[in-house]
Amino acid sequence: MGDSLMDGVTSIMLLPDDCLCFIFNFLDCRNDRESFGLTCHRWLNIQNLNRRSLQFPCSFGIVGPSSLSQSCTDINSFHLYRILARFQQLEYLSLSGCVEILDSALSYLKPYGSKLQTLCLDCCFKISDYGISLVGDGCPFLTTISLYRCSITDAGLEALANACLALRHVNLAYCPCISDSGLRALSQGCRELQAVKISNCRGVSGVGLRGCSSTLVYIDAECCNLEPEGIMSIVSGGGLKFLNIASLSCSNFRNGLEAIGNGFAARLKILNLRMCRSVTDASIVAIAKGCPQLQEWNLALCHEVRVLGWASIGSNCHNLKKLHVNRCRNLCHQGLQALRDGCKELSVLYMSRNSRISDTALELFKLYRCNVEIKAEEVMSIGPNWDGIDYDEST
Amino acid sequence: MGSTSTKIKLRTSDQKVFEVEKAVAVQSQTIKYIYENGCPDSVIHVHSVSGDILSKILDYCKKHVNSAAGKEDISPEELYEWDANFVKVDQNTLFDLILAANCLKIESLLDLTCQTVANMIKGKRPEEIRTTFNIKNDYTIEAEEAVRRENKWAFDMLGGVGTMVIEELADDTMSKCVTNTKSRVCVIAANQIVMMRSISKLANKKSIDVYKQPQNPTTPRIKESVKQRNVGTGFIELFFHFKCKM
Repeated sequence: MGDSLMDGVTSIMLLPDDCLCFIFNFLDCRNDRESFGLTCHRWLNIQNLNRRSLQFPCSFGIVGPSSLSQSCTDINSFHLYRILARFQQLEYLSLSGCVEILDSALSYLKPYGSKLQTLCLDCCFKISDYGISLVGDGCPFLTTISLYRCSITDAGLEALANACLALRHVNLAYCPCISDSGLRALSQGCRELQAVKISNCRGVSGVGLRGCSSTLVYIDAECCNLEPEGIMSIVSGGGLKFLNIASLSCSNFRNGLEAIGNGFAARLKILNLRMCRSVTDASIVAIAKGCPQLQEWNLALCHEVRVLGWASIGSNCHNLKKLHVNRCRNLCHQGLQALRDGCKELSVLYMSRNSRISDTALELFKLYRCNVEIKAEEVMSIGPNWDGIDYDEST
Repeated sequence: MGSTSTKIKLRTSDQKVFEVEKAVAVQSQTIKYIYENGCPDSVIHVHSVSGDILSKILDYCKKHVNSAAGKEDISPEELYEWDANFVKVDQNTLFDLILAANCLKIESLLDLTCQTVANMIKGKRPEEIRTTFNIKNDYTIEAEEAVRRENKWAFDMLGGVGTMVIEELADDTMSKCVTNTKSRVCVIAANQIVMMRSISKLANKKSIDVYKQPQNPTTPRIKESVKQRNVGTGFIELFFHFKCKM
């Protein structure tokens, strides 16, 4: 192999750290990186310095025999301390799945975790408001935080919002103790907020987002008890591009969605109204007129949309590329014709189990609009990731 | 004469002087900077590089400049071969080349030489690496054990917060995971061909995106080229229940 043993001190140890870092970064497999670190302490230091992200085996980010088949070590305070002390250049840390971790463990974030930008605390059931305040204390430059199923309250959220002013992406899905006042603190305190996920938060009606910054482009409020005032608040920032209010819980919501078309959501590109069974034509017309930039619209299972609604979509949605109408009971051939004659930019139509559409109507559609792909699948989740949005995207 | 080919003089640490074409010398960002900001007529001192090493480096720069300019008829594969032969040197020379390329800021040479050293490390156990490079082992048995234990806990996060890495999962377990998901699922399979086939069958049914494991695990955020998507809450919900049963 041409490797020669040198007498005396080897020259590789004379290389400065940055050269060793370059060499290390050419190792792309986990085993090689670990072997590198186990060679000597100096090389361990290089390995540690170059680690930017970390998650534990119990994380929901990993599915495999190692994490599923046996009970993996419950990550506790000591593990977190070791990891943070060892890898001091971490930018992304996930404690997802660490169900036993306590608030006190997060106190290690202050001395060691100040470079963190992304922190994931999904399913950390034992973390309370105190723990979140430690996060705020220790990671002032945090931009992304995920608190799925955490039992924090509005007070904790407020403390976080006051400490981490640079927050951009926040996931509060399934947080049962969050209400509008916590959201208010978040939207008022973090003026660079870009994406908020509040799906399945039973205590949220939406009004907490009133007056949010125009940087807020992404809101996921699936399965929330939104109220008409809440909808108005949600769009009040003026910058919204992606909105998901699928499975709207309130059945009396008939015309409340008109607010989306009131002009504030003029930049809206992707709208998910899947399973909003009671949304009416009036709302659809308002939205079609008020959101001219709509590119993707999910109206699956919106049974109350009738000819007036479909016609409005056809004549107003000039930028619509993808439309989902799966299982819409009141999509009849007239409605389909209106879509066929309008929506010039349409490229994909998701359509299945529409009982009032005959084969003839479908064939006619395909004939006139041969450039539209018809797909039968039902896509529940559309749009980009809550933590993947960048405000400066050109589109 | 040749006004088109300016020459630059370089003096090494052992007082050797090299006269080279400007186009070749400015492959080094350091030399380029000095030339453009200092006095171009006098000699540039490259204190940290010896004559032998500089001679080799200039060979490299000349070859690459000529091939890029089309002066030499050499295909990319031939250039690649030439590079491979260039780094077939003893360790001392290789490390001296790294040091010089680093100090002279010649990025392509630095990449080439560091990749060569990395190749000498790949696939080896720590004790083998120590033997290759004659490194003294300063680990106690306990310390080494502690590090190995911690290594078992530490996984990289490929992609954003909601991305899932699926490794070597049996087909039926996988289908249990995804059958009831409400959301689009992103799966990054660890190069398991069998699994890819079964996942892609499911993918057609459930709008699941499937991507192979990216090459470089240090990149926590995978750019558009790998096109990762998120794991919807639905999947995490299901996975959460699923995991609790195990």
